[in-house]
Amino acid sequence: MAETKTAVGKVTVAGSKYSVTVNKKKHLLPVGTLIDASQVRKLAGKEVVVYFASKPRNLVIAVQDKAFKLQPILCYVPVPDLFKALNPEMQNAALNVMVEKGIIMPDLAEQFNVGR
Amino acid sequence: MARGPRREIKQLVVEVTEACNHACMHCYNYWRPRRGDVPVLPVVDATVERGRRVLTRPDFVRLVKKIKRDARLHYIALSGGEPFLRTDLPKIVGDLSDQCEGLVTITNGTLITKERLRRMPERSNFEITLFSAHRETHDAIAGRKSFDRLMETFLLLHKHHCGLVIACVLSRLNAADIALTMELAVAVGAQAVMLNRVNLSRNVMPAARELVPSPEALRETLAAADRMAEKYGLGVVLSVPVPPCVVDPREFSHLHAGWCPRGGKDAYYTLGCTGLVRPCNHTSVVLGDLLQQKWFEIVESKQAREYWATVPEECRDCSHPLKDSCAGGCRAAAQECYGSTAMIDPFVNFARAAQA
Repeated sequence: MAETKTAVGKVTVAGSKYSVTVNKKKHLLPVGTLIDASQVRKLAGKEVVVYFASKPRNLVIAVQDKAFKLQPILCYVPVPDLFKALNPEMQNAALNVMVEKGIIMPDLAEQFNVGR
Repeated sequence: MARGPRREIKQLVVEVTEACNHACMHCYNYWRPRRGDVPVLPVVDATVERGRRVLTRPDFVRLVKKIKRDARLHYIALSGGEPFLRTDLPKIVGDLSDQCEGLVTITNGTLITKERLRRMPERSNFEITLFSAHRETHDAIAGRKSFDRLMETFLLLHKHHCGLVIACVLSRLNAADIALTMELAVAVGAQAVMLNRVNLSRNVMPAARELVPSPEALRETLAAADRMAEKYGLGVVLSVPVPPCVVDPREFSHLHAGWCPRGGKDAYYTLGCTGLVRPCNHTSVVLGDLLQQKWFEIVESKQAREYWATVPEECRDCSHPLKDSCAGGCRAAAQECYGSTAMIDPFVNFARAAQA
């Protein structure tokens, strides 16, 4: 299987021209066919990961926000990083929603309530 | 065979029993009977499953120590079946917690009691299945009336300051409820939510059309989940990989997309309750017998190396940026449903059919 080549670049928008600069070389983005213009505009000025086609090698096929998180999460099993403290205010807000919708009874919600 | 270098293994899944008191519609376990055939099991310890002696508590400790002679083990996930059907589960949790950096028990939550919790290490971590905020939907998917019992369990865990991750298996049956289900997860104190899209296996195939959502429905569901993750600052993981040709997970900036590690240190090799080792918990393929073989002989075997190597023919010309991460989706599901890891993940086929 051919490997997709990637590089880090920066997106620029000039009028209706969209491009990404990688190693000082500007590549026009095929906006409208493979890439949606509204999505590219959101990335203007940001560092992005640029994906090049296997053939021809200099054809940009996608750009992706560098901040996008791809974590090596394992199927079915929670990685320990997942266990994080929950904001008590948020938990109480969710409890109120559950009581309002009749999913949790008020007396049960009271026992869950944090910070009271 | 010469002893190999000491490897690293981040997670090991340990299935302590094949028995279960639920009959979930989407259950992928290869040993599960047909839905409706599952008896309501009393809390007893079976001694033989599938014709082999079930490992005892000392067996599990001995085998985990055996693995640690060959590999640096970080985390253990206890699974099943329903782990709490073993009366010695609290002691197994205690023993195996001493053998690793962290341990989580994957359970349906219905058999956790105050007494059993008291016998477990303080602040134990749990992954518990919740399929819907609507009692009727949850119970229908679980195949048992368990919603109310589950709420009591969540309260118990909350009072004991236990770690809680909610696992929700996404299917057509509960897709519309996802926002409310996630809010319920936050309300009961979940520290994260795992959204596992339904992953097919041989026994689930007859119900696949009822379970697999269309790409459009899945996209809407994930968008709703994305909004909830942002609203509550909740960690949400798409644990079972979503093939990007069905829905591109990059559309949802508050959901963490995960991929099959396909072997190596990130693999979650699975030790069954009779000592057999499999590539992961989804597959019935057996790589070796830990009672008879060394760990490195099993995981470095040709069969183990080749298990994940195949990319389906129809995915080879894929130009999607995530194609190397996806590589045809779940190999175990393809193996279980079509008999070959060279086939595409059956979820893709059923999702496309649902769209059509």
